[in-house]
Amino acid sequence: MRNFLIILICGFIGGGIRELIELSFASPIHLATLFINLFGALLMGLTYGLIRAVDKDMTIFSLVCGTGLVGSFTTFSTFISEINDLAGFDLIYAIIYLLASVFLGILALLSGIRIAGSLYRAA
Amino acid sequence: MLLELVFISALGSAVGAEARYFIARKALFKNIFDFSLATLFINIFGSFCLGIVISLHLTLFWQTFLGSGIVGGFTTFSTFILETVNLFQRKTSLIQ
Repeated sequence: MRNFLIILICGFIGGGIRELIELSFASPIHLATLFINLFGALLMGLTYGLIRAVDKDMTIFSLVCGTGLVGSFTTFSTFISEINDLAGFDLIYAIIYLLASVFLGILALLSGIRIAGSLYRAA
Repeated sequence: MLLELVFISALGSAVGAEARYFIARKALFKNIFDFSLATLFINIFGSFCLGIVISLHLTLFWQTFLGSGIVGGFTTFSTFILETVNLFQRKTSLIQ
């Protein structure tokens, strides 16, 4: 029941922030979703890195940040739908968008884990 | 209008996140091939649902609630990337 409420509230906040960014940066070349997903991947790396560094039971932290806030903030379905839109416009552009999202996403996540590690050592 | 859309999208995301949480916890998806298939299923099924929502040509209100909200909150990019990195490192995922 407690977990249910945590996910409900964090999902609300994460999704709300995503929509706010999407609507504020409405551009024809879909930079909002790219920014959201890359920033989310960085935050997910931070969360994961902190959990791994502290090495304790951090279920609540993982629920709040990982599954709730960041999980709802980033989105896979809109990302795929935008690739589909771009493919109808220019296939090369769609492939660049896809590869950039995935590889920069991995880079952002690894940076997040690195930052979390150095934050933990500094603290 | 902007805040209205943000609010209904946030409401939908809460529902979508809840569905994601429950699917990710299902034993069916736990640790097949040493990692969870839940996120893969969630993202593919969510993309399928978004395709349906888009093809229905709904009003902006319903498109935002169902598409950005429920399906957007259901699918996740960050966990997908995390699991990809985890597979590189051959460690099972801590966050689902």
